[in-house]
Amino acid sequence: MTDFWAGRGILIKHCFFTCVMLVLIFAAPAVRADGTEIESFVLDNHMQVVVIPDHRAPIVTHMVWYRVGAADDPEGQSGLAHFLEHMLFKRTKTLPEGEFSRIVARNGGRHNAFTSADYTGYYQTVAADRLPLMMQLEADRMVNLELDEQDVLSERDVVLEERSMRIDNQPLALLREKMAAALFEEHPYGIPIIGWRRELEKLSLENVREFYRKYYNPANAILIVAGDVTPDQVRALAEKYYAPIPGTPVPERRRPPEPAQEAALRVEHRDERVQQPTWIRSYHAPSYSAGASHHAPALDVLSGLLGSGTTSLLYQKLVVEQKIAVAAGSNYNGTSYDPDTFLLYAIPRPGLAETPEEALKIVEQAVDQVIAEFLADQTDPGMWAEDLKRVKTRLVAEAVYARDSISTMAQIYGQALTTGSTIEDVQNWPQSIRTVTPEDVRAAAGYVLDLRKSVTGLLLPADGAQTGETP
Amino acid sequence: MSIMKPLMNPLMNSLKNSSRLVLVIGGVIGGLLGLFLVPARADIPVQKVITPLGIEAWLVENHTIPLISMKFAFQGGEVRDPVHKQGLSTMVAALLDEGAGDMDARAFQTALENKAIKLGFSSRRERLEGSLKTLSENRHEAFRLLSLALNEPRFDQDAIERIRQQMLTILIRKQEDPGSIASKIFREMVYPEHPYGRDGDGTKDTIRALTRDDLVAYREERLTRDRLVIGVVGDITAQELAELLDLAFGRLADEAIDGYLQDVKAKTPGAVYLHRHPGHQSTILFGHQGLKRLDPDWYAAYVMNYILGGGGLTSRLAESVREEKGLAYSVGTSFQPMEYGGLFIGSLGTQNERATEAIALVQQEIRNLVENGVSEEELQDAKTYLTGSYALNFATSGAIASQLIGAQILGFEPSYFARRNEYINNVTREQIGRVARRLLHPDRLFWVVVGDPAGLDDLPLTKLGQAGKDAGAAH
Repeated sequence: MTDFWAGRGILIKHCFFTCVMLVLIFAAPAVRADGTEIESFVLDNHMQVVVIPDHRAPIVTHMVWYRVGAADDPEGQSGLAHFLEHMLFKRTKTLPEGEFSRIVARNGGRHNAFTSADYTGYYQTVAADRLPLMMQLEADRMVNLELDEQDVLSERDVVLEERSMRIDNQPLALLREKMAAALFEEHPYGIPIIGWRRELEKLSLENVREFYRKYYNPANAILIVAGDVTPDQVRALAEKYYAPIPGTPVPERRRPPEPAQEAALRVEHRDERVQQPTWIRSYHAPSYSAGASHHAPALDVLSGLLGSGTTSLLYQKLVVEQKIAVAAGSNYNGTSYDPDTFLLYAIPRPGLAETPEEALKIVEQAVDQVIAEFLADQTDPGMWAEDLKRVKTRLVAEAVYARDSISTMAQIYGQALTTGSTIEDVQNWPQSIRTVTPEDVRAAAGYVLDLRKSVTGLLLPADGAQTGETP
Repeated sequence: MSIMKPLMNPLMNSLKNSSRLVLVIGGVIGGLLGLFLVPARADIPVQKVITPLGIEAWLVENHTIPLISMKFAFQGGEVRDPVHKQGLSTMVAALLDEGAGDMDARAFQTALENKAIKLGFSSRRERLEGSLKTLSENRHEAFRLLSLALNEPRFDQDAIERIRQQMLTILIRKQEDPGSIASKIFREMVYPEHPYGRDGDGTKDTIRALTRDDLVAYREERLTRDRLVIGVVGDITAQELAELLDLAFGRLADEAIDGYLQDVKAKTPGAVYLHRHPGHQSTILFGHQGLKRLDPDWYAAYVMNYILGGGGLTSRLAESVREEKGLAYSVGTSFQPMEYGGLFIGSLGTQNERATEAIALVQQEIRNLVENGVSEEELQDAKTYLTGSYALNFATSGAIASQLIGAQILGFEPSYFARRNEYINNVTREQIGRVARRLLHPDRLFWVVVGDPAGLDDLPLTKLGQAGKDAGAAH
């Protein structure tokens, strides 16, 4: 659906960058939730089940997550996990083409699916009494998918259009692709989830079938039901619909480890469509379940201090005090199966310098200055304690706010469980944030904000192009 | 079906950013499907709260989770910004929480964050909207800060300049984005002499010219009680709420002073307008005159659109354009009602080589609907989806609060929520046939193409923009 005013900027300062960029990439720190009675159990076929009761409205979100994502794509077949996700909406041995969606719609449900580097998820949100039917459908396509050559050819075109829309039409997304490829030389986080165009164009029916057979079965899946149900109801239904499917051993997830980076990298993307430059830096960072994961809570707090919202250090220095940028901030992604990234960004104000290159140089120096002062412990101690407290309060409150949405809750648990965390990790998250000390934050910052382990990315207009800058 | 970026927050959850849906195809109904839907009814227990100072709000109490979510809106919005002050509503919305009372921007934002209170304002075409979310234990502080923002915003020069730079940046960025480019061309061509044709974000010149006095006047003249609607959901009683509402809204002026607008019809030339833009894909926007929300044909039009291009998963357009031909990842249509008019509008993105084919196919589907109407099965499927999924619009406190203000803006009573499914169920095939002939005019659609398409010349449509012989003739 389009909006007549589609693509208009929305001026919400807290997500200024996100909104302006029209690409969903940066957001607040990873948030987890507490305060609900979660129940979890495992079926005999090794399918894990998580139930998150919420009886405020007679609806449920039913999700099946597979512990497989784009970072598990076979070499040379990038985009396969996501492509298979599309194919699951085709047909099965029992349902003709398109019937899955039609049934869900006819039952008043909304549904969709998503693929990340680490997981693939499918969901329906529907009136609570439709849960059995949703399980029947989801269990069916877990093992009964039927595909032919024609399905693959037409859907491949659809995915290529998706790539055009999400990546090729967005210069910033193209820069992000290059930066990821530079930062992760060996590890598949360097390969785009949607896949390289040249590889996507070649994905075959056989590729899809093989991937499906290998990864789609109950032992590799997690069922999450949130909403107006009881754990007993879910248990009975899961026994009926999912338990009869045999769980088969799933290959261990083994991605090539990323060798330690030793020198700072720089990449740039020049594009005739770019009207205004952007500066981004990504650092290698541990996640909640991989690498030096004890730093993870402190990194969430660090990202809050440095770059979330208008009170953060980067925004205050670059945007408010020095007036050289219109946006500046950070993002930490701690919910990953393997070590991931900590990111800083800045958008210079229009007309900051004669050339876009100079403008980026100015904001880069300013960011480096903020980081250097932070690492050298030159921050006012009183302010520092206040800031730390505020950031922690905000993060902990997010866990309560998250409970307002059954789909958010299901999402949080699904994401944690498919990336190597446990239910207890999610439930203890607020406490782990509360106990972060100033020393923890400094230590985490010192560990991660090391230029030698980073890639700096510059988004620039094409050489000699006229920019839209207005001094 | 969406891509979850590895850098995406769990809360930016996939449900929000994956509205591009999936595939469809009609077919035989298997044994699975013999279900009749008894939709979950949206029985929303709304209390009307009227405060001692006469502020009215709709409240849905729920004490399960210790939070309160409030949405409120001042009707008016960007279309009422004077032509030489385009962008004013946007700037006001951006600055209300940038310092108030004796707190500058940083102090104000710090006060919010100290209690994890989320306060934000956004500017829309026909309203300025506010949103407040707080843990219930912090409600007094939350409403105190809201009261300051509404009644004593500082509009410090420093903050004004900062926001001005951000607004100018947004304008620049929009020139990079095919969807924004297409919207701008469409808007300007279709509404050449009405505020609907303008960009609510402003122009370079108007943004530069806005002054502090403009902001002050806007607050006094347009953030007024006669334009205000409020919806509250969560852990608060009517009595507690009444007191807090008076604190926040009781001091606002009674009546708005602003411009008067007249109804307008979309002017669509039955043409294709090309704007060349690099890339693999052509972004295509199309539309013509639609209808208003209170039009007696609204529900028939709404159900008809679901069948044509509204049901992302199961529409005719998704089926033919995406599913059968692999022409697009997303394709859809909608009716967009506005206070002074309405639009029927659609969009898709397709590879440059096949843009002409895609346009012809969409036209053909629309023509087919006008000539042949819809089948009984399609109508039933549309009804079961639209009625069955209605309850999903009430899934979070914020979503319920949005429904509460939406209904008030339309002048409905709370009983609307329980009746709405009836209105959908009463739609007949005959009505849809009549409404299709009244509202859909495939030959009068105006098409905007942003990209580098091939073969547009083959289309039997007037060529404008860079597709025309006299490039740029339309401007």
